[in-house]
Amino acid sequence: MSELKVLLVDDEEELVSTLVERLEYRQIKAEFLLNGAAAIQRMREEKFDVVLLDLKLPGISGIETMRVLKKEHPEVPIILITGHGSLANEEDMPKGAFDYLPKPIDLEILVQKIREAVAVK
Amino acid sequence: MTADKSDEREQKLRESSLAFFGAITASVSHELNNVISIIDQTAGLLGDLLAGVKYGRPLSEEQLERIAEKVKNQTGRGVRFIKRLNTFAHSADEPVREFEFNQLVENLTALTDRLAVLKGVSLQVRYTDQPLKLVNSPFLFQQALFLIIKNLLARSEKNDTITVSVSVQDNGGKVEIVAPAKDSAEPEYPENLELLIESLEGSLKVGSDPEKICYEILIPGIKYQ
Repeated sequence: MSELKVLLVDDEEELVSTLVERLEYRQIKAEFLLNGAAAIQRMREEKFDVVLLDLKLPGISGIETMRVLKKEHPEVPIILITGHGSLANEEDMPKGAFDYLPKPIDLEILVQKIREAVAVK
Repeated sequence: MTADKSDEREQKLRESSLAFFGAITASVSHELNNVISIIDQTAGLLGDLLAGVKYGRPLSEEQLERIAEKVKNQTGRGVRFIKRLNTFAHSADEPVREFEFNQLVENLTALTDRLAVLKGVSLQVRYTDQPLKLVNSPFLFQQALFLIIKNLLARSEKNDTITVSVSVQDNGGKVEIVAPAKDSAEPEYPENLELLIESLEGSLKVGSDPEKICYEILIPGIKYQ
């Protein structure tokens, strides 16, 4: 099985840079970007297996970013990251997302979700 | 004013105040959640590195220093949010009290900054050169300022700038909030804004031209030393 490649999109740089480091420790290649516009651009250049996307992004919102990414790369699963209260329950999850994870993120659950998303794909 | 009118007015003010308090605390709780998330992941990273040591992977002094620095930075960030939230919460302690106008505007705009960042908008604040002490309602004033900023943010686009300027005028404190005009849209009066200004015994001017929209709040109560 080839190495998984994940794109993380969140404007909290210290959070995503640490997540990248931890995922790489688990043999998952990861890259981070701080806004939706950069993520849309990056996805046009290179394919990722999974996108991890914060709902609250500066400029283009997480929802709008997801809409564009799903349109351009419908095969790539998107896992949303939410602050507490952003999604009260699963029914509120925006259409098109594979799943969502509340912050603080449990890394082992994240890894599990990434693998599930790739398996379903 | 009739008793019914007065009750209705009080009720509107109470509802508006609660909504304002909720909006600010929700915003700060998101910020604190981010701080905790970073500290949590950093602790996790330390755990990963220590686990690696058991398998003979080296752990450098530089890696440990970087982790300690990250935790320290985020703790400081969290403390700053908590201090601002605490100052904000205490501004509702008494209906009328003495306060420093620049500091009040600075605290409220800092608490509101995340909303601006999410819109990709820059919120710039200009202060008076000298301290400006007022006796009035800090809580109601912050609410009025917040309603205007929120309204302007809703109409703003990425890379816009909203400028908040503090000055002294006619024995009172004046704050001017300016944002770029959008097409020919008229400025709006956020709900309860006029009621708040009336309760502050202040005045409100709203104007626009093809370039900008401008709100001016003037509140009395300057305190001379």
